[in-house]
Amino acid sequence: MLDFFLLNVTNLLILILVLPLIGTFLLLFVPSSNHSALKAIALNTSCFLYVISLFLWVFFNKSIGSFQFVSKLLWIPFLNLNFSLGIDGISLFFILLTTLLIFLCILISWNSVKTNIKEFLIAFLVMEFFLIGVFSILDLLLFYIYFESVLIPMYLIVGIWGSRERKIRAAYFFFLYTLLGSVLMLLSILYIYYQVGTTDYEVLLTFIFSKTEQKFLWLSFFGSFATKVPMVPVHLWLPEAHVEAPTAGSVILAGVLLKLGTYGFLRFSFPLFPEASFYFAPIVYLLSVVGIVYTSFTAIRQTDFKRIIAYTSVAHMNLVMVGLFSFNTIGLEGAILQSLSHGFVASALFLIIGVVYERHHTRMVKYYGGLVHVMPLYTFIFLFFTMSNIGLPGTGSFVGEFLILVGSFKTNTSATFISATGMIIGGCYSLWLFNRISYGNLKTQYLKDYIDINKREFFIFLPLIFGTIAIGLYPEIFLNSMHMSVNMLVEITHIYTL
Amino acid sequence: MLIFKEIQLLPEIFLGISIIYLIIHGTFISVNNKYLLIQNSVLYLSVLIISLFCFLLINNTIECNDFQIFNNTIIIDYLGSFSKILIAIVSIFCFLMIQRYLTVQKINYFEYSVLILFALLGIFFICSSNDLITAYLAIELQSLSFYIMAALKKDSAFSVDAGLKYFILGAFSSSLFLFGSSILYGVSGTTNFEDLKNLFFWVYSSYDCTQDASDYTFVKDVFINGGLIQFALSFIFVSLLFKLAIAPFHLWSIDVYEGSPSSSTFFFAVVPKLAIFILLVRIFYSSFFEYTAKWRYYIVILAVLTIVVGSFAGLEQKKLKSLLAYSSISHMGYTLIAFSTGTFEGLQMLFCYLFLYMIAGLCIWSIFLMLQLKYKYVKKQNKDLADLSSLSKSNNILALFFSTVLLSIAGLPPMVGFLVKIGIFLVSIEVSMYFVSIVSILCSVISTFYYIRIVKIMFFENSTAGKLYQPIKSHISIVIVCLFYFLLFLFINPTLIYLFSYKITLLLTMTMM
Amino acid sequence: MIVNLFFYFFSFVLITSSLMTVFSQNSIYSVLFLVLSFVSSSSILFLLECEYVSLIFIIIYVGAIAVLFLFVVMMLDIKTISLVKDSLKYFPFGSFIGIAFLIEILLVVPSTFEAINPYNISFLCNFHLDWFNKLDYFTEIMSVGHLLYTDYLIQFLLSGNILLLATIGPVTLVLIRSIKTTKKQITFKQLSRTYNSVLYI
Repeated sequence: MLDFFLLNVTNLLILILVLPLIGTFLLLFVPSSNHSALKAIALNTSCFLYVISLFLWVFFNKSIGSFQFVSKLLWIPFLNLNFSLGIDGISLFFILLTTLLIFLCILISWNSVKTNIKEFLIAFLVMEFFLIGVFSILDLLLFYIYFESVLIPMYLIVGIWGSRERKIRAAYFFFLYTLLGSVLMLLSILYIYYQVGTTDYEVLLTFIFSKTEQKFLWLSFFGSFATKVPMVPVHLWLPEAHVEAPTAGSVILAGVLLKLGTYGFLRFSFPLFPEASFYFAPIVYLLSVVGIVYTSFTAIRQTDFKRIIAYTSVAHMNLVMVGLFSFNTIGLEGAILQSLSHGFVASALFLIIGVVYERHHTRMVKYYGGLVHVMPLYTFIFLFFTMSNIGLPGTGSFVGEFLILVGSFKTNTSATFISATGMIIGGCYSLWLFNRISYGNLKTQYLKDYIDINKREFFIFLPLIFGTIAIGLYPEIFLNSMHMSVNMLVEITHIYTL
Repeated sequence: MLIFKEIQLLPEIFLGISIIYLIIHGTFISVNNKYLLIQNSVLYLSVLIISLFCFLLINNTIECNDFQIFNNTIIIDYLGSFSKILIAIVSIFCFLMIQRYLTVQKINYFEYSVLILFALLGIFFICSSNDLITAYLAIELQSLSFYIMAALKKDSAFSVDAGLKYFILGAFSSSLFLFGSSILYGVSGTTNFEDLKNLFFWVYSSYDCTQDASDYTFVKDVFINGGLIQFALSFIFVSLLFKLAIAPFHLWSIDVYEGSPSSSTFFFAVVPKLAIFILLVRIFYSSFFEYTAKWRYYIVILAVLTIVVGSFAGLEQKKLKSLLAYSSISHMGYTLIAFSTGTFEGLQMLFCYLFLYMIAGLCIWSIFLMLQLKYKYVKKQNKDLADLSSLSKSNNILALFFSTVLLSIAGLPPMVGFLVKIGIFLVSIEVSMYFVSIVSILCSVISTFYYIRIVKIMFFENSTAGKLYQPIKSHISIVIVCLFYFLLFLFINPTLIYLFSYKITLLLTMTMM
Repeated sequence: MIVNLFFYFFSFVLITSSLMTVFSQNSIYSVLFLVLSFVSSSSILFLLECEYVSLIFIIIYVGAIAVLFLFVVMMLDIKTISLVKDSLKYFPFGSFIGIAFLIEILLVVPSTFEAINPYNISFLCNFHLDWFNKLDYFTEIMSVGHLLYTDYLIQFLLSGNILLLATIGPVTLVLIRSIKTTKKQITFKQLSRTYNSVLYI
């Protein structure tokens, strides 16, 4: 059995997809009072999974743009629905990000989650299963199934382990916004199924829809993905969900769930409806530029630590959208790289909030101050991630933002100009926040005891710091693997539009 | 009198005779011994009877042929046999589930099981009726026992009220059916579906009205314009919609579901819908297909109205039972969409949806019946939604099952409810009903809201003073677990229901032609 | 022609008396109107030459059921009910639907049956089933029995089942098995009744 998997590299993806389920299955048999065994199983499963997913990168063939590790399982042969798996350079890094962040999330909640630990761990492993499924599935309808299934564990995580009473409202917001956004996508998937006779992605790539069809289908897909990104009119669920979710939930929300939207655009909207993507690009530019400026300004006037970071991630994801709709290799690669580095940086920032929230149970900025006196290591890490959030050269965000701006400069100069302005505002609130939290006098009238971060927390931050620096200093190791796939994507879109 | 061909009806005849034996048995034992409480033993006997019925039916099942027996008034075909087996199995589960409820609520009448058996007999006859008279009598048998079941909790004013309402409106709708059939008989001189099919099936498509309009005859007027036939058909249709609680005719169902004892509501909600739909298919798909082609649009309007009503009115409900009632109304709307498409796939998805509706309804209502609050003096039966608040703490697994099944009937992706729901939307897109599918899919999101509200109440609320539930017997919990795993299995291997419904539809359309 | 006149007359009586059954405030009057509607409908059956069915109709419905009804109504302590308030509330909508249906019937039915042949205007004609061959060879009871026990055997059994159910059901609903709640005669209550509190004809 084992050498079957080891010898046959194609089965690696199936192994990765199945492992979280095995972990869940093991967890079911451990009594819920045995906390240490539960945590050990979950941690080991996710760690093992992360290591195996690194093998995915090792065995990944960088010179091929098409799908690798492809395998096909029958599911409903009656409706021509099959379970086809495969990854390319675009989805590879999202899978790596997912496995890493889930591993870190289980570590984060080592002590902070006190109730229903078994259910918590199961929810995370199940979510990992769904997320890996979303990034590796090559069937439109199954993609939708996975895409929507992520909602349920996340809804439970926000609702059960959230911090305050407002969590219920936040969970509803999260659930209904995303569901309402995506039902129209379901209808268009069914329309596509009716037109083509299958929802297999590789078959769909060979099918050309008429212009009107493309416009309608693109719009309904846009409704779904834009809610996930989130674009401006439908972004309201994100601050709510972020603020109310537990730290691990926020990390996974910012780190992976927001990437589902951009991934959806990359994987489905562009290659399937290239003409419509070109047609609607101005609207997307407009919405994302408004989003960048508006959410950056909103972030300045927030008093809640977590809400500021939440608005920051809206701004960054909107920047990613600008990069996506530049339709050239540089812009697309920049967008993917920025998504990746945002996965590191935003997760780390939420973790930083989590560290102080775990100690003091408040997120109001005004209660903190002068932490540099008592928590030097913490402040250093905070500074590092604040800088990478702004986009300091040498960190991952700089490379991503630079590539995005270069790419979009070719297609839309004014949008590039305004979104670059957004970056400056980003610098304002990040530095403001860091200044308020770290410098000044210690506010001992509010908070008494201060403890610097412990070893566990330090080692959670370490891979994130490492990843950010790695992207920043030598992005070629990441770009190398995605060149071929992105080039192919750009070619597909250009062939149909020219 | 039974000639060899008519032995096909043996299961029903067995059921009818055993009902009479059961009555005699119950009466003699209970009257001779100072009214012994024998309702449990009679209930288990009824389970035995239904299982034997099932066995006979499986022995009898014919694969690809159909027989018309008893002067063509009964049809024995695959659709009928399969749905009878399904209904019988579902009702066995129902019997097992309601047993404890009856004991707790002190509904100590052995007649209760007998009434259910009568209703089942009626339902089985509806499934295989091939004649308007048979259909009418079977519907009457079924609904008459339902009226009594609704009113059987005599010390509750709500129950009596429900029984009365059900009786008046049910009798009204039955009379509509009778009126429609009498007009049909007056026009065509037959009540047999087969004869009606021979008369009317090809009328519209084969005859061009523009040609020779000069010779004006009675036959042409009746058959080509068909005004009176459509008039009669609309009456029959409306009366069957009454039984299904489709939107403008749904008002009785909430009060009835709410007021009658929960064991009866379980039956009303889960069991009879499939049989009524089979009758609808037999009348409107095989006998009068061409006539109803005109008013598909109106059926679609009714379906959308039903979904809207079921989704929006469910938001306001405070009681679990009326919420489930609204949910079943909206589900009937989805099935009506599939019914209105008039295509082969539509028929198939209709049966898929109904099978799953029955299984999921079985799960939900059995969990609902198992959740008996521990009250010492008040035997409160009608649950507020707030009564579920501490379920996740006192019985975590049950809460998990309940929420999973709720999400399944809400049609959320990783459940089997999603698959059958997209089946409905697929067929509606296939016949280009885009607007309908958009409206109904938005409504399905809205109805998701009240399903996840239950999940919220079960899991998210931290109530300090929790409520206690009665412990659950082990054999019942085994049944629940089996049902739950069956639902999960159906998602992993949904080909099962697709294949069965495909076979049913194929054989049905083969015999239609 | 005279048959047609009779037909119209009895139908009119039937409809009016059924309406009065619903609308009359005194429940004894209602029962009496019900009897009238039974009688008129059986007369219509007479006109259609279904003598056996109409006689059975009279014997069972008028002779047994209606009398039983009267008996029950007299036994029960029913007050006069005022229907005016409720009926005013529902009158516009109900009458709208009723009139719509009436117009529909008036539009559909004559258009189907018009101008076929003069004989057909009489309601007696039904040339789809040859009633003469079916019925007049036998006596009517014989033909009904023949149909019931051969062609419609299963329907006959089904209606038997319905009857059985209809006896079991009411018994179950009204049977009270404990001794405590048995209804007893309260002499004082009975004696203190006045004309104001009861129904009378």
